Amino acid sequence: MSAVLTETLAEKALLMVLDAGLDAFARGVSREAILDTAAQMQAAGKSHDEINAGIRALVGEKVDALDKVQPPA
Amino acid sequence: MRKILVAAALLVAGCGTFTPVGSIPVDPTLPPAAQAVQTTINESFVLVGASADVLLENYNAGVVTWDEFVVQRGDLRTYLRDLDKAQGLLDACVKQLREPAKAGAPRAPPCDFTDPARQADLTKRLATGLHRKIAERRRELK
Repeated sequence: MSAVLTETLAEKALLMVLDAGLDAFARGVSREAILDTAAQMQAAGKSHDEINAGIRALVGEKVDALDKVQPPA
Repeated sequence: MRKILVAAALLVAGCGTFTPVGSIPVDPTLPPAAQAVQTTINESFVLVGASADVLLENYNAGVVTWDEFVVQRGDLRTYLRDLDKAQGLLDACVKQLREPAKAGAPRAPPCDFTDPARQADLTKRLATGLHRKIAERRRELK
């Protein structure tokens, strides 16, 4: 009985790690896209103000994309 | 089953650990307090961007209702507006520090970046909370 309980708890702990990893991964994918944009702009000699504006524009586009979503029929 | 879970957890946790931890470049000529505020604003933009991406996935996958989607979309838009406000406060503060006072003009109290810092910190806290909520629903995809 206790062996089964221990195994179940261990599986739950592993699933929590999996979830946390996926959450961090999702954030990482978005972060990577934004970092890439910032790095490209910096390499192109853009000022920090321009880089900030570029990041704001990129994130603004993501939020604007949510406005294009249609409600269910 | 357990071995598969261990392998998957290690793989995904590793992906989470080894995702880029660099930050968006911040103007090094800014005072340290201003750099800290700008970093908070930049990190919050990343959170809002990630939340928008995952929210869209959640809705398309059917794990959030239309009403939930509308509420969370509204929250993201509010946080974006709040971050713009924080950026505006920061820029005004930096401008005040960098521009010499005009002769004869009344001198404004020196800006210590408290207001932009407070605005940025609050928005980051709220955006983090929303991101967690959205990410929790994403887990229902599995």
